[in-house]
Amino acid sequence: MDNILEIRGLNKTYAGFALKDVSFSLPRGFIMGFVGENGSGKTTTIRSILDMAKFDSGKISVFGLDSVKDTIAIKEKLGVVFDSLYIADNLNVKQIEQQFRPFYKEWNSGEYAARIKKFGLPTDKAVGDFSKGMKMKLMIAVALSHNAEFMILDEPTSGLDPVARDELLDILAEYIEDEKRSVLFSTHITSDVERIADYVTILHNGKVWFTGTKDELTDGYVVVKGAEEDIPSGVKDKLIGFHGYRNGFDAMMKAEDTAMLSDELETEKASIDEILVYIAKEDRREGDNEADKV
Amino acid sequence: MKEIMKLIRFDFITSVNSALPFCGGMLIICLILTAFGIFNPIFGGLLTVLCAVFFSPAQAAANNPNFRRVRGILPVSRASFVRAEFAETIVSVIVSELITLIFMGISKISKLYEIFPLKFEVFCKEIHILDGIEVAPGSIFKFVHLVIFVCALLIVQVTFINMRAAIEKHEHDIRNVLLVFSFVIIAIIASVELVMKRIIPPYDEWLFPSTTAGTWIWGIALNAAAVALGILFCRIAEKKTADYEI
Repeated sequence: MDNILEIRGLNKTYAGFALKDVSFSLPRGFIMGFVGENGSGKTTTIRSILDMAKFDSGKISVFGLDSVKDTIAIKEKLGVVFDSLYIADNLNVKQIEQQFRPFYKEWNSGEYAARIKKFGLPTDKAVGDFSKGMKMKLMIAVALSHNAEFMILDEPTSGLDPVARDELLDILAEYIEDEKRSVLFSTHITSDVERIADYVTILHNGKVWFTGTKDELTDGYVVVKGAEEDIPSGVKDKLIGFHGYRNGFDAMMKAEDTAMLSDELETEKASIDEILVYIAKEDRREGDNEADKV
Repeated sequence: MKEIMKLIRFDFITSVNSALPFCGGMLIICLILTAFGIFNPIFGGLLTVLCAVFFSPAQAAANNPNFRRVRGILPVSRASFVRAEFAETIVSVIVSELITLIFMGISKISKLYEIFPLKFEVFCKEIHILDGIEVAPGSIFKFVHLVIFVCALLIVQVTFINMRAAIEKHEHDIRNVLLVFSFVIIAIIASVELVMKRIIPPYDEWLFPSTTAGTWIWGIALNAAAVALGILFCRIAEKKTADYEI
């Protein structure tokens, strides 16, 4: 399969934070949800793809090109949407087109005008007066007007109302319909990922915790509930984010390990939201165990 | 070069809405004064400063973390962003210098002030014939020389401040501006004092040419030297910031 994005062994260290051996790939024609709690390294990874942050080691390829050496060629075909507007807010949509058009060989003014009309963006208003949803649509219009084959969105839906979020997800789903384009979008709103992503990469503490198809993720993990004494021996080590309380416990485990469970324990498919929560709980539990040892 | 031109255009569009009313207004006032033959370098100085700050809204926006991210999106090399910033500074000072010199030239031949009532006409006439400032006995800074000298100095000062700002990630901008301008003011006072005390000969004897052709050559050479220094500061900034994060 032709990968539009490939990251291999990405390492980047800041004071108090590090990306450790981050590797994943996104095939052409699909949407990948890039998920993780705040500070997990999503934005740093995206900034590394865009050559905004210099990484210590590893390799990033976009369209098969090197992200550092060929960054200009990559950006010709790349659309980027951030969580906030990167355009001077005193300008209107026409002035923004005048600004961006010269930079892209494949800029299509007709497409830009059509997108602005379709998205219902006012042409005479300064973009600073736009709502957050309108600003997102404007950044998408800019990306689509230069025929971007790959779109990267960093937290595009955070702060959007449900209607605007829904519209944005529809735009992304429509964008990849021709199966030649791909989308990588980082978010912590997992319902968005469940709705439109084909692939999911979960980043946790600067490391890739999971990367694969959405179905592999949701079919691969279950939530286990029941009484603590019903946990068979040797299973407790396989539980992720174990949380014991007065009347029982809940935890997550790999679906392939459920054969080891007794019938007394209940299992149900884990949602992406639950997976993230149990990863965080496991982290806290490990932290507590370390503290107890000390 | 193409990338730099595109970036200058990008910044021009960002700045034009905010800067045009001030710069345009000042230009119109200067045009009227020129038509009446009473434009002098004091207004020219204001014009120079206004033109020189034309791109400042765009440069201020570029330092905003949100807007700065456009540098990671546009298909342009990092070096071009630095070069464009310096080119904007240099071009805007040179453009304002040329406008000031042209206005001074036109103002010198225009006698429209003669339509004013007699009392005011005398006042205008005095301004009209004003040619320079006496800084010391026997030493006159001619206004043409002064404009060229100040603009060349401005190019060096502002590009130096740009370089420091880029290297220090705009952390000490106010300190740098104060330091550079204080240094220049002290240097000017000291040099005038040296002439007054006759330690060095008056500037019009050795620094400022007396002929028109000499003034042109001197002006071009001085500006070229200032631009060369500006380019040097640009290259240093480019090199030092090559690995900076956006």
